[in-house]
Amino acid sequence: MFHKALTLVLLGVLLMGSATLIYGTFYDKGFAASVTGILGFGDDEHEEDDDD
Amino acid sequence: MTKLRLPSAFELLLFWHGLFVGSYTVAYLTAEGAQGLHQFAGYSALGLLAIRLLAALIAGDRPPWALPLPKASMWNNFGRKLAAGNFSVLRGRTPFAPLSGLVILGTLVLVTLSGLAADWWEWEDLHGSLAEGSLALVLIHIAIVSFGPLLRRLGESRANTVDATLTPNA
Repeated sequence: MFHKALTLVLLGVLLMGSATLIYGTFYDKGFAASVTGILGFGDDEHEEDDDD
Repeated sequence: MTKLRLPSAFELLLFWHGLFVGSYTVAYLTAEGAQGLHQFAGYSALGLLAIRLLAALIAGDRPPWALPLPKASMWNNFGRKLAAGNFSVLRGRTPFAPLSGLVILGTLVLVTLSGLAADWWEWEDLHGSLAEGSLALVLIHIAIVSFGPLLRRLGESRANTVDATLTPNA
């Protein structure tokens, strides 16, 4: 039961991560920026700093 | 040959849970540096919460989609056994599991709605504070739902070891 619950939860996480990656690739800043963004290493703030 | 079948209501709830965990995780990780992805994950979480609450409204008292309200009888039973020194009641599901689920559901409704407000009226501080606080609740929820099954598994493996020790060799 615990394994089944964990598997379904991980499947959901994988699907949601993939959906975000697809959105980021086609409608946001591209594949590489989306991968780094999902992993928590996005640099939106640095870009804002560069503009100043 | 494996037979295909429709998923049960409980499996659908677990899958919903997984999608929600995914959107929360992505939203948390993208909060500082990828605004577009953060909004995508945040709106997904909001939509998933709306689906969950709508399903709870339709389901009423019927499990598993009913809201995880900890019943008084469950608390009474748990308290009585614990007071009698029966610590085996801690193995498996305790009333703290639905309670933590309910608290987290309420908190995440506030987090996502404040995110919506932050998107429209720039209430970033409120949203940021609620989201940071929600992480602690999420970790407590994970600890509570994992504790019971882990304790039960530990107990089973100890019992198996004792059985193996006591069983004479053939």
